[in-house]
Amino acid sequence: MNEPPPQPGSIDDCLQTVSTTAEELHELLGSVTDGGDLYLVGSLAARLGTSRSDIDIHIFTDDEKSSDAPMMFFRDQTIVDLRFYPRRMPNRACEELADRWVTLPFGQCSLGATPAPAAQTRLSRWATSVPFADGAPALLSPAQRMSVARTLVRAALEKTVRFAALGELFDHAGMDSRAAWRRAGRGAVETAVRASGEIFAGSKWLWAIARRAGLDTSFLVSADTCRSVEDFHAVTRLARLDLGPADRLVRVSPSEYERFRLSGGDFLLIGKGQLCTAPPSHALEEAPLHMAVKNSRAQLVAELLGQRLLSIRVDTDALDKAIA
Amino acid sequence: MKSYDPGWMAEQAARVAWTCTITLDGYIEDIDAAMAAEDYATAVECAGTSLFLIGYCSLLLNGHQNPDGEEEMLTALTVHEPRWLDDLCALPAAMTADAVDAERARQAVNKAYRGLRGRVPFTVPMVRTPQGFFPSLRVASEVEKLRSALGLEPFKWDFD
Repeated sequence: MNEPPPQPGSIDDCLQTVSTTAEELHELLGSVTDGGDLYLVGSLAARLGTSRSDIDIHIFTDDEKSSDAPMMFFRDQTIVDLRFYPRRMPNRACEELADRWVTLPFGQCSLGATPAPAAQTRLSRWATSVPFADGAPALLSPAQRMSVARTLVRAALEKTVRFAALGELFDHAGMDSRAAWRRAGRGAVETAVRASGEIFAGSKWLWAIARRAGLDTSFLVSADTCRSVEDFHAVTRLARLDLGPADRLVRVSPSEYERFRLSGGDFLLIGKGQLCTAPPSHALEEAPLHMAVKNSRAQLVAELLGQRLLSIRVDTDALDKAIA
Repeated sequence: MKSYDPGWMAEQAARVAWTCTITLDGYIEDIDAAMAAEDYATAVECAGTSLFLIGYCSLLLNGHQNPDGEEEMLTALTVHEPRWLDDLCALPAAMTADAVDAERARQAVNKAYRGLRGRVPFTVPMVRTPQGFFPSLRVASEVEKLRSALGLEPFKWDFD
C-alpha cells in the first residue's frame, strides 16, 4: 500500500478553486469561529472541487457537545457549511478503530467491525483536512491517517460484498441483477481507490480519483461495465482478490414488526406505514444469506428485503476469515 | 382541482420534494458542471446517481416506504420498479465516455427528471442558495403544520 496520502497544499491553494481566501472567510464568519480551530474539509481540501463546490469547514472547540447539524452561510452564491465538534473528538474516533489488519494484493485492509457510515464520512474528511491557521498541525497524525485508510478500505470492501451478495440473490431469484453487479463493480473500484491512499472518495469523484490514483485502466473499464457475476469475477481477478461466493459472507436479519391477525390471514406492520401479508415464520429468521435462500425461495428472500422485513449485513467474522 | 391522500402528501410527496432540492438537483447541476469542465466520466457518474435517485423518488410517490441506505434502495427498485434499472444500466460507460456519451446521459436524466417533476404536487426552493434558503424553511414549517394536523410525528429530516 502506498504511504499515507501527502498533506495537500496551503489553505489558500485549496480555496483558489472557489476564488476566495482564508482571510475573506474569517471576515464572513466573524465571531462564530472564535475560540475554535478551523479546518477545511471535503472536496476542496481533497483538491477535487470545482468553482461551484461548497466550502465545508469543521471547527473544533472545547465545547464537549457536538452535532452534525450544519450552520450555513453564503458567500455570494457559494455555500459555506460549518460544523462544530469537540476538540478531542478526532483522537477519540481514531482510538475506536480496529487495530488489526491484513495486507491484500491491492493494499492494507482492517479486520473487525467498521464504524457507522456517518463516522466513516467524518473520518475521511478529517484525514484529508487542511488547517486554516498557518503552521497549525494536521488534524490526524500519519499513523491515524493510515488507520483511517485501512478502515475505509474495509468499509468499501464490505459494501462491495453486500452488493455482490444482492447480485447473487437476484440471479437466483430470476430478477434483474445488472444494477447490483454494476454497483458491486463500482465498490471494487472504491476499495482499490482507498487502498491506493486516496482516502476521500465521494461517489461522484470516483473516476477522477481512480485516474489520479493511477489505477490500471483495464481494471477500471472492467469494473465500470460490470453487469453480471461473470463480469464481477473478471473484476476480482484483475484486483487479485477472490472471496468466494458473497452470499456466504452476509447474513439476513428480521426487522422489527408487529403482527395482526385479521380474518383472512396474518399481517405484519413494519414501522407505521407498511403492512404486508405474513410470510412463513422460518423466512424471518436470522441466517447466512445462502442458507436463507436454501430454506426459503430466493424470490421470497428478495421480496422480504424489498419490503424491509429483512435486512442484510456483512458477517464480520466470515469476511475476516476470507481475507486473513 | 386535484385531491390527494393527505398522509401521502405529508410523507412521500414531502420527502420527494425535499430529496429533489437537497440531493437530486445538486447531482443534476454537477452533470452540467462536469460537462463544462469536459470531465465526461464524472458527468456520466452523476447521471447514474441522478437516475438512481429519480427511481427512489418514484418508489416513494408510488406509496412505498422510505428505504434506508443504498442497498435497500437498490433492492426496493429491483423488486418493485425494475424499469429504472433499465435506464441506469443503459447509460454509457463512465470511464470511456466522450462528449456524445455524456450528452446522451444528460438527456436521459433530463427526460426522467421532467417526468418526476410532473408528479410532485409541490416544490421546495433551492435550499442551498441565498434566495431559496428562507423560503425553503417556510415550506418546511408548512409540512410540519400539515403533519401535526394529521397527528403524525415530526418529519424525519435524514437526507444524508
